[in-house]
Amino acid sequence: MAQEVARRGKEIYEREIRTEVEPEQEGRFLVIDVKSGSYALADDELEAFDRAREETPDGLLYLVRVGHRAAHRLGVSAVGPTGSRSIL
Amino acid sequence: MRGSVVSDGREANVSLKVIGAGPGHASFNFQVAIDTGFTGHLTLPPETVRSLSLPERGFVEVELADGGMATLGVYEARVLWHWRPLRVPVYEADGGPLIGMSLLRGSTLTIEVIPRGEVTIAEGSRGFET
Repeated sequence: MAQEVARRGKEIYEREIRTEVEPEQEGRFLVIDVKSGSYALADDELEAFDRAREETPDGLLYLVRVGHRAAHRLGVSAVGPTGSRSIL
Repeated sequence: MRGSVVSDGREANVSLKVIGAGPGHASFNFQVAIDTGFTGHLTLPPETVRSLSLPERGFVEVELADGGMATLGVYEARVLWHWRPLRVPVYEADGGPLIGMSLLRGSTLTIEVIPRGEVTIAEGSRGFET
C-alpha cells in the first residue's frame, strides 16, 4: 500500500499542486490526502499532518517537501519494510 | 545528554528515551546512532514502532545515499530531549535506530572520534529559527 500511496501522492502533486506552491512555499512540508486530493502546508511536518487530518479525518496521507525530490535523505542501510527500494 | 563512540570507533551512540503511546505510556531507552546524513528526526525498526503502539500518520518517500528512493511509514512519538518531552515524526526503517539533523537542530554536538570516545549533545544557547 505504501508505494501506491506514494505513487498517487506524487501524481496529484505534479498534476494539481506543484504550480500553486512552487517556488513560493519552497522548503515547507506539504501533506496530501491521496483520496480527496486536498492538501495542507506547514513549516513542521507533524503540523502538516495535523492540519491535513483535521480537514480529512479518514484521509490517506502522503508527505512531501516543496521543491525537493524527497522529503528527507537517509543512509542507504536503512530501508523500510513497507516499501522497497527502487533505483531511478 | 551523553553517549559514547563504539569500540571500533566508527559509530557515535546516545541513549534516547521514547515514550510509548500504549496503555500507561511506558517509556523505553534506546541506543540510537547519530547520523548527520539523515535530515529527519528519528528512525525506529518496525517491531519497535509496533511495541510502542505509535500512531501512524502517513507515508513519505526518502532519498537513499545511493540515489534510490524508499517509501516509509511515518509515525508520531514523544521523546525526552534536553529533559523535556518533544513530539517528533518517526520513520519506520529497518536497521538500528538513527537520529538525524532535524532532532539535533539547535543543539551542540561534540564527538571524540576514538574507540569509546565521549559524545555530548548540549542544548544550544542560540536557538534556531527556520
